[in-house]
Amino acid sequence: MAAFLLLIIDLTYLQIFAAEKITSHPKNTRDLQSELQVPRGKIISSDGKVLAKNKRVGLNYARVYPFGNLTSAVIGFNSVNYGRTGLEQTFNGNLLGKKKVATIEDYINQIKEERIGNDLFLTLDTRLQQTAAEALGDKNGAVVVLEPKTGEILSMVTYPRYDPNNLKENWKSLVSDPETPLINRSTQGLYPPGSSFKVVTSAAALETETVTPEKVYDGPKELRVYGGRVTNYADQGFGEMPFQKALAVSCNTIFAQVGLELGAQNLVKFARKFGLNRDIPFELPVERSKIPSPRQMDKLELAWSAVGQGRILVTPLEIALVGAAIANDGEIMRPRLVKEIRDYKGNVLDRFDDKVWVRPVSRETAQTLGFLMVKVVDEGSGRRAKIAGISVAGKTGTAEPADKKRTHAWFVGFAPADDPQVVVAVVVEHAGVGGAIAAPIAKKIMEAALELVEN
Amino acid sequence: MTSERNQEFLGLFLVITLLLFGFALVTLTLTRELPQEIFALPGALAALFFFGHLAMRLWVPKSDPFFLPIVSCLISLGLIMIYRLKPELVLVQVLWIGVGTFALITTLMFFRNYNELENYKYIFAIFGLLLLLSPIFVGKEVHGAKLWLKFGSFSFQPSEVAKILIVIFLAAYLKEKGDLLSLSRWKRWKISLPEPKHWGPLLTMWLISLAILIFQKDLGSSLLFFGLFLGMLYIATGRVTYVLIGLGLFLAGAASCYYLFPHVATRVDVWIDPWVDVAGRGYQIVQSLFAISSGGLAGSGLGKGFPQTIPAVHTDFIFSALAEETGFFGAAGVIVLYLLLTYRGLRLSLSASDGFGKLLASGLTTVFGLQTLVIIGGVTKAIPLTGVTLPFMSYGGSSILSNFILLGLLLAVSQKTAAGGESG
Repeated sequence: MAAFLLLIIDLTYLQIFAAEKITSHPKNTRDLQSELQVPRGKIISSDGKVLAKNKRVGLNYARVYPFGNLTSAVIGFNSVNYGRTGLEQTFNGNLLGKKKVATIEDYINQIKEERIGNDLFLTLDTRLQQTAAEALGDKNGAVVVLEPKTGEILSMVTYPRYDPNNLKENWKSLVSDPETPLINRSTQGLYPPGSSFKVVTSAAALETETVTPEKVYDGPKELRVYGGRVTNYADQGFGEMPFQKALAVSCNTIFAQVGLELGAQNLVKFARKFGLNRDIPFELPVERSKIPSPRQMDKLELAWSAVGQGRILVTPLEIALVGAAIANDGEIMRPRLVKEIRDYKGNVLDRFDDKVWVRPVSRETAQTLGFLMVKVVDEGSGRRAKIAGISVAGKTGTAEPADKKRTHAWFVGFAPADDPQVVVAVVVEHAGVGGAIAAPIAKKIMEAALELVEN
Repeated sequence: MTSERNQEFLGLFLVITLLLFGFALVTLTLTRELPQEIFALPGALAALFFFGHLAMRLWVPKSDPFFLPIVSCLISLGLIMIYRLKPELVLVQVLWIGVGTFALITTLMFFRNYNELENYKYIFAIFGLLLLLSPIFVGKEVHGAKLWLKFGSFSFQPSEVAKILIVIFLAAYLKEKGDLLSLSRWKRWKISLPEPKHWGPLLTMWLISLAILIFQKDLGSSLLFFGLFLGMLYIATGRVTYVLIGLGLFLAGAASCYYLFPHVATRVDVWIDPWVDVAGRGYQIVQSLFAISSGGLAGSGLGKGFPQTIPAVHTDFIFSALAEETGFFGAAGVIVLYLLLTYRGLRLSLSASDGFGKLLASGLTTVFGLQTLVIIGGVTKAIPLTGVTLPFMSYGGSSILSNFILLGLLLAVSQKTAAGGESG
């Protein structure tokens, strides 16, 4: 008889005191199994297209991605065999319709109601996504398109891509592919920024009043610094010119001098203000963009850093945010992909508001620099991004990769310059010169984006 | 109309409500529909309970009113779980419950004067032993143990029926020899024991238990029979010495088996730490623990858990499934039902008016209670896991049949006791 009571005590231990410990064992597949039986929420683009939905497989559900590889970098996948990535991972709890259980009422509702996932409504526009993907084409690289006033990501493209609908067939080759199609280059690709970084150097120099747009520098073919030398692209000599012209033609030897005047402390301080060496709050995993600490920088490295070479590494998202700061009067809005979360009945459960992330420079500096960046497109290296009837601001970059292969082509820009609606950052790996390769891609995307804004 | 039977009827009414509600809930959860056909089988079961009730009104009107409602409650919970786990087996289980009810009615009809059974004790002993040991020679090994006899597609677990026959034999034998065994004429090392010639039965039972363990690899039955024997011996003679010596013998036997037989060693090792080989040898018990623990206080709700991950969940592990889906409330409730049944049984054996009835009731209760403890203890990892069924709840014909006969005999003893020695 007493043995029965001992059993009840044992049961108390198993079901109440040790329950958490036992059920959290990795070999307990209950969570996974129960998740398979929940119809996950849909993921819907800002233009109302379904990017992820379910199909029934017996008692369970499986995911279908109607846009295939076009949206895979953002949406990710949800797979029993290969795990979860992208928004499927970040918003797993919401997509599964998990609810807070705080009151007895919650508890009763949880028992009564069938679990149905909540839907994600994105900022992403499939039309722009399509345009960006076509503009980038089949060259390795990435595109980030965002709205500077809100931080909404309108498009995020990476190449090469994968199709999340047939992972099983391709998994081995996807994992072993040296071109890493499973990596989202726009948030996880680290590239030397090249001259696109001159936006940061210029912002720092203007903000600290190290330079004015009219301040005149000599731009020789090469500048000897601290036992080394800084050269211009194609060993070109520019002669004397004001700072604003130096930005437009992307003169390295002048920017090296500006960097030396600014000092390593200031350069790194402003780089950090723009988001380097810090974590960008975002719904997808983001690699940290990097700049060495000032103590580790000798004069030669400082000079090279000011022109975006040396040991600086950035993600395309970071460069887009640098552009956004200039476009949005010195404020970077927190970037985001998800506008709101709704339950299956359409009730809004969570809405994500516009939030200022950082404020790296003043409004005046941003406006001055914006004006200088218009000159880059109007009369400088970024002419191929020019759009008829609309003033475009931008900066090209031609970055030498560490492996000394062909240069990466960069462009970051926004339009219209007087009331920026869209920021575009483009990187094309080992493709050549930014002005020739990346600027035309950005132009196509900006045109399409502005057209969508107008309608 | 006796008040006992009216109480019983009220109890049955509550149980039938629970049964229909359980079936409706499972059906709704799993299919989101509620067709009326699903009530056919639980309805048939309710009718069977009612037949049992009528038979009791007729033949054992004064017997304990708790037995039938508790048993039908356990049967109902078992059937709800089987319906939830293996709906295709519900029909077979209900048919077996029908056979069981028939066996109960037959027992009440022909054996309510159970004292007649005393006269045939050696026949019961021989049949019991034959049944018990038959799988060694003609049995089929399932899950590493030889417990089953197969006749075509029909399989039968003889130890389930053998346990009743052995209880009848032991009750009769001990009533006759109990006094002899309680006398101590032989003394060594300050321990008094009966003369060695009376040790025979003890040693015989010990050897039989070991034989079951070694040849049938059936740890559960072995433990059950030896425990049953010791319990009855204690009640017949009132001597703790027997129990201690018996336990010592069993432990010695079990310990040598641990070293001699790898399958016994495996069982014990898995019991001590199943987590070292979760995917392999520890799989079943670990899945059972996952199920029980994920039930928590209130359970996942019927049909909402995942107890199907446990192998043999509808037979030996039905308790784990119940614990997952009804939580601590349900599982502890079921243990309390078994406790209550065991309590009524032991109370009956204390108040029984004749020696044979006393021993019979205590033996039947012991075998029932021990079997429950062995399997619930096993699936909760309180003791090493052994494959026996959970009385009245597990899927399986032999178990249902024998436990109904057990119930019938208990009711017969109860009637005679309540009627003051006169059987109805």
